[in-house]
Amino acid sequence: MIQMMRAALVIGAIGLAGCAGGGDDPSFSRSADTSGIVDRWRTPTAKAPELPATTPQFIADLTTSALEVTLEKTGRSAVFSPFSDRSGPDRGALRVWGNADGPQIVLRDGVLIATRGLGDDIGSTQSQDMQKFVTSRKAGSGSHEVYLITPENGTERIDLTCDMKNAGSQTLAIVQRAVETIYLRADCRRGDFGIGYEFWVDPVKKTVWQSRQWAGSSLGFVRTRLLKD
Amino acid sequence: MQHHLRLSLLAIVFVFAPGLVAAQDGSRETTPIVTSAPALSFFGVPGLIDMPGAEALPDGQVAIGVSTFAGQTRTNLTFQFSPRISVTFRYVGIQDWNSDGFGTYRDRSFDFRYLLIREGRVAPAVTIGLQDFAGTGIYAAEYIVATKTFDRPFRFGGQIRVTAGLGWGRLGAVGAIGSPFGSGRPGFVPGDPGGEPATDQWFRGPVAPFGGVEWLVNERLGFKAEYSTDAYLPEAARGVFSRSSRLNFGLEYQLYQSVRIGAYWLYGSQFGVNVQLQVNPKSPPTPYRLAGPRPIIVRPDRLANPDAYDRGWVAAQNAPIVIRDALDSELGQDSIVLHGVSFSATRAEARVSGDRFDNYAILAGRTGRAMARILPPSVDVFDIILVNNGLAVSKVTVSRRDLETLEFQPNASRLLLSRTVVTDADAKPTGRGAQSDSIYPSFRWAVGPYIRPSFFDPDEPVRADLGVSAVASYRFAPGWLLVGELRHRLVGNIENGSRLSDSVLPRVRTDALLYVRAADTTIERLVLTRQWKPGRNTYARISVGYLEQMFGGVSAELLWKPATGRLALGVEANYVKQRDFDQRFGFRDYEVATAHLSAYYDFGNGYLGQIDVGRYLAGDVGVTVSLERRFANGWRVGGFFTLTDVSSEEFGEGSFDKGISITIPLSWFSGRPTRRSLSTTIRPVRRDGGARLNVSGRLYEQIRSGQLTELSNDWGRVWQ
Repeated sequence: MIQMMRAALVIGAIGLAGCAGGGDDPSFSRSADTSGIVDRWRTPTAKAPELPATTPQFIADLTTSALEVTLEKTGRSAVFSPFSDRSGPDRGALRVWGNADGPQIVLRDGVLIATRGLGDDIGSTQSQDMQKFVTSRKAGSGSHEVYLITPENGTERIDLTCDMKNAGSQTLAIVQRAVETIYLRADCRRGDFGIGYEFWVDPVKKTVWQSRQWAGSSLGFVRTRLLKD
Repeated sequence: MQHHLRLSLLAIVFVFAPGLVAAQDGSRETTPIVTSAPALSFFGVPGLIDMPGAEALPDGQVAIGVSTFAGQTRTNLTFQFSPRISVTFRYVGIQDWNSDGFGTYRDRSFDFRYLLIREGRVAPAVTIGLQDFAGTGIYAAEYIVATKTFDRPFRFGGQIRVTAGLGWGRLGAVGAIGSPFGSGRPGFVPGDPGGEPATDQWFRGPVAPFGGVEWLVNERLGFKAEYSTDAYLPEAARGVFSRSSRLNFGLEYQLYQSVRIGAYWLYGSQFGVNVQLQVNPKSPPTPYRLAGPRPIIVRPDRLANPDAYDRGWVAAQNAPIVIRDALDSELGQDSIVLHGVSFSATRAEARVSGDRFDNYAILAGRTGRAMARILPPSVDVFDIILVNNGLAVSKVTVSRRDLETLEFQPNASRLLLSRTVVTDADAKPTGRGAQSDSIYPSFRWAVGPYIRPSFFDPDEPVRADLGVSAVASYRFAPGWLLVGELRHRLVGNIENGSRLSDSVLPRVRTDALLYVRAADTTIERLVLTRQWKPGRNTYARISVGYLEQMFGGVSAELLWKPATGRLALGVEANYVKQRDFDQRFGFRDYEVATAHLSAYYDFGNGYLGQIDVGRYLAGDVGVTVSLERRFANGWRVGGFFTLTDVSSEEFGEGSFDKGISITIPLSWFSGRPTRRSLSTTIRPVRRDGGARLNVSGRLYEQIRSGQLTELSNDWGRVWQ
């Protein structure tokens, strides 16, 4: 009996693990910039609760631009909203997209140049050739450098050589809405290692409606889909 | 023995595997088994079954293996200290020994391996190894071995690894071809204190060729066959087991990325099992995730909007309070504590600490962002003073314009580092400003479980006590800390040990059993500490109270450590008295003054050395040498030994104090930022010679983490 009582106390003690007080650390919270967006992280293997479907009504109800981001490797997806914008005459339009859970992705002219809070993030990217390709839609070749943040808190540079092609017009269906686009594809290589970047770009504006871009071997491919411009 | 094996396996399964396996669950369908780590032998080193191979583990790899056959269980811990050097610690239990005063014979041993030649297109990997080089010599052997890997040889798929070597000692017991370096080799002496390098036996005696083949059918399945030259003579002489064949065979399966299991048929009559777990500090099971930062607000163009850069704000009477409060609010969202702010019209200083971040680069980066969001545009330069436990450990100076312009540049972290200056921090703020009035006094408490393990009692190799620990701390002014810890043991079996001290030295550590038996509720420590910065590059600490489980008194320390230097020097002096066994407020009669001079050196690439010279708790005088490998994510693996004027006979089993230490940050498992970690020090034997005071809060560890070397190592995350 005494042993059982002790065992119960042990379980209770373990239950208390982490109980603490008096600290001056406020709980971490995200900015309210994304409060208008329904957060819907989903993992196919984790049996997440049912979340609102992405419907035309859902899109119509959004009060700000919205980008659906999917990590292809895990199947996780979420809706991101604009977090901050920058633009410069020679560096393109830069937008940081954020989600209420804390992850961010940074797109410059629609090209993925950084991620934060996803784990195994991209620290930065030399993407001028890719940006030029996306904005001009002209075939060509160029380089693309990805600086990944390593688990040891350093950076690892991945140099890619890319052949870029304009594959013509394609019509996308984004939440039951037909969107005319130009399909661009960049086949990049690093030694024997090949990666395909894909962009579906508005024929008139610079808007990238949909993309599939590489974010390192750990994170894999990131898919983006612009739900609301 | 079964108990020993069970405990070892449980340790692996419950301590390491859950996090690793859980991390794989989410992507099991898409993540193939890809491991470059060679399989381990029954001795826990890369190799065949009972014979070693030449391959090295990946740099930094930590490998734990438990193997058993014929009543012999070996628990092995191997660390790949550098790309060429690995060390192994082993604990063995041999059932049915029934000799030399032992029913089950238990022993500890260390191995050392050096990769002489890396495997190339033609050349095989070649390794030289010392097995059980400083123990009683039960497994003493030396070898030079070569391994070559062939892809898709002949018509087989997969890979074949062929191994051949020459062995001395146990590995030269049968099939010898001569004794090239002399035949006089001392034998294994049961009960010998051991512990000293047995240089008189290395590569002496007969040498025999051994070898084998490993066929890796695919990424999971492998087969092994080997020709063993270990005759198991000590075991056969005592009736443990006798071999009837020199050939061994095995089948292995990669269960998870980190776990490999194997079943074997050994020496013609025995069935064996080997469970291998390999992890690498560089490959956490869960990626480090930190919610993205708030954006940097870029100032308006100076030419287009010169009024924004007006400096008149600095004259406002309430400017210090307004700026302090705004910055404090901004930093508080990231759990960063603002200690104070001071400024001029063009330069500002913020003193910050972060209990949450285990990475000072992130702390500096987020503080810089907050300053850029709050401070008026005329402020061009930010001085970020990193504070740890009230000590200003370094000053990080960044240009505001660099923060504004570099964030989204290629290789942005490296660019920012090249333009950032790290220097010694002033002890106190200078210039006009305001200090935080909400930090002190600060009271904190925590209640949680504790576990106190006890290893290597021959009667029960693994014992533990489990209970509840209550810790409270009170900081009433900068640099002052009163901390106490009360423990209550709920369950445990350490007190069941029967081996009381037989030490001829003052029993400063070997009375541990009496401390455990005396009381369930104890004061683990109750310490008042004051630490401060007396001058440039110098730090000081004084601690008074019940400093550790067995000693109380006063401890003083002075450290010299430049913010950008690799060398640090320290001096520590303690006057302590032994605590009563019940660990309440009383003391025993023994008192001693100890002192050490310490030198710390950062060799770069994560290798740190430390030498401490002085007087130890038993009154002996000597030196402790420590070498450690540190990873930027917080992993630390190291070893140490202490030599004093105490003779081997006076010291007792083990001859001198030595051990290994491991620290694993919890963020490595969880992927969440936290400064908590798991640490343990494993000593083959705990004796009284070479014992230092376990005072907490030694200065070097507090200082170094916020200075240039470690900041640079962490800088890849500065924009996070």
